[in-house]
Amino acid sequence: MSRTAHLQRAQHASGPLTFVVLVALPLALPLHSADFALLAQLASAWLLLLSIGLLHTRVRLLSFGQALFSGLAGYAAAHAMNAIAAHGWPLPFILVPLYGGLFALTVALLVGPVCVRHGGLSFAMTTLALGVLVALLAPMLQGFFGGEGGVSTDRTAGPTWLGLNLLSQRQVYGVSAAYGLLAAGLLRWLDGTRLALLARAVRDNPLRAAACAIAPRAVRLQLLLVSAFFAGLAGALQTLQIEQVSAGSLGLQQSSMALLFSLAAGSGSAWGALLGAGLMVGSEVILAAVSRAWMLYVGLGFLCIVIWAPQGLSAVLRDLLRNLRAARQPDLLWGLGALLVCAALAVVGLSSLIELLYAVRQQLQGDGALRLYGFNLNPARAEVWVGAALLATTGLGLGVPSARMFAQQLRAGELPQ
Amino acid sequence: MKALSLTPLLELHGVTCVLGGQPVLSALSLQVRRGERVAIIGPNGAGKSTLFQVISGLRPLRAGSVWLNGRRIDRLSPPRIARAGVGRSFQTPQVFGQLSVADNLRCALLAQAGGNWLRRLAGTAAQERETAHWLQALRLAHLADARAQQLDYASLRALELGLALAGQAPLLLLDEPTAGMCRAQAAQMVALIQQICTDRTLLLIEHDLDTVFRLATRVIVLHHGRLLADGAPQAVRADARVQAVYLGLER
Repeated sequence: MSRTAHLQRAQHASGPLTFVVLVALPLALPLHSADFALLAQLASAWLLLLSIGLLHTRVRLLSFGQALFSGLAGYAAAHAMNAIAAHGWPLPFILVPLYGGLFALTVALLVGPVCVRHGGLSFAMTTLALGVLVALLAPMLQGFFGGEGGVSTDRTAGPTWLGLNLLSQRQVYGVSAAYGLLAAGLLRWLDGTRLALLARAVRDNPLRAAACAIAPRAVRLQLLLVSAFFAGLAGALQTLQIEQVSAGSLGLQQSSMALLFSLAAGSGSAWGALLGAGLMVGSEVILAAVSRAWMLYVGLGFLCIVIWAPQGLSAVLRDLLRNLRAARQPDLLWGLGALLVCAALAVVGLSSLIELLYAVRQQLQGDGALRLYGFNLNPARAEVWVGAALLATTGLGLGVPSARMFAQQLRAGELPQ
Repeated sequence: MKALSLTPLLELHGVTCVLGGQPVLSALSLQVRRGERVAIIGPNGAGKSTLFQVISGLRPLRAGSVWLNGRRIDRLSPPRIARAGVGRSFQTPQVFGQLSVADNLRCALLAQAGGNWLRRLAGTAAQERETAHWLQALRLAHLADARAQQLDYASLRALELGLALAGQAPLLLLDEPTAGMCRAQAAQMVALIQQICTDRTLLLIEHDLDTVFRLATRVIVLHHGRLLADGAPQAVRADARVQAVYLGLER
């Protein structure tokens, strides 16, 4: 057997195992409650990105309304939890995400036939319109959506099952991770089925597919149902985590952020979706906590990815790992090192400029000091601006050619197919 | 040669199709019996390809109806028409370029699984046997794992023929199956069609008259969307009107 085949087999076998270990590992670590809350958020974001990646990479459908499924499932989960608690039904809350997934699947069954009539732009626009429609309807239908305050629930009000009372964030993360793994496993199984083959055929040539008696609409709808199920799991898990669901979870911003990070990471695979979820939670929680300009950074980052890594970051990482394993390009690590140094310079310089601008514009700091990267910077002093601009131009000036060189090295080291 | 059935497999009644305000097919009626090999010929703009588009559901009718095996099909969607029993090739070969040759054929075979989604999901050993059979029949076994977009033109045409055939459709529409081929490749394609389309009803558009007279048992001549002549190849060849409008003798 060739070295490539050995590598592929090893990857095939070790991938899922690594995944399970990685996801289960935090449970064994002495982490704080807040860390587990963040990790649980990561798990639900992972599911949401898996649902978007499933549609995008398998049938080339861009869903701008994925929050429609996750948001509605979130509401359905909240109502279900409240009903179980009120009636004392012996239904464990850890099954609520399944209910949310099935609820979203039912929603997809109702709206899907309209969305999948045509692929491409038509699908994107229909899902966008439906998402906006439901987000606008939400304040009017107070019975279900609970008005401005949304719907609150208590995840500990349910019966204990298998020792799980969902009191601790560790348990919530465990449940979220288990559902994430379930979805990733389901996706892996799905990729080996004939439905995945038909989906690739429809993506490749809908005209030929139709002439072969394969109905593109039916194939698209089937994948939309699976995707909605995943999004529903994500939405219900979010309700379980924060015990609250509001109209914001249905909004366009939720859909577009998920779509943006899905495209940036290239979330067709479980690894790609995990990377995207990490970036999304990192931006929305960590970056947003340290800078008011976090949306601007997200936008700039996305722009860079679209220009220099249109296949997504996970594809770049995959190529890098493949090259390193094959050890065909000994200079690759030097190239990567140079690129990272340049990128770091550019990021520090650009972010300093942006933060300085924010500080001046919003007059938050006045002439006082702005604390950035461990330094106190005074926006009133010219040398601070010059220094930041110098860093940014040096980083960008050296970064663009080194990125180009790195891309060439990656391509040169590609394994023969 | 197999005896022809008397009941028509395909019937067109008064089919009118309009494109950009111009009638491309005008009250066209014809019947094709099971087992026939019918060549459609005519000058450019005669409506040949539009006729195929109409039969396979890609163009709506202004008037008239299309029947397959006694069932009206002109209101069905293209996939349902294909499932009803119409397989086709296109003027420009249409295959699944990103898929391997074997996966292309698997996709065409999956149509046979019908609405049983469990069978579709799981796939069956029978489908794998059939895939291998078609790879052999099309002489593409050595290219089974190659991406379809990497095939040479003749192999691409052969694969497309396989996609039209593998679904077991009783009626095949072949749109210029030898177009763009050199003489040797065209002869091979004709031999392939003769060899593997034995139990099908064939309707083909072809400009190469050698191919027409080698393959067809009946020739239909279209002119300005109307039926100009219909009969045995030799009779059509001798027809003065056909010679005038199609064989280059029009003054």
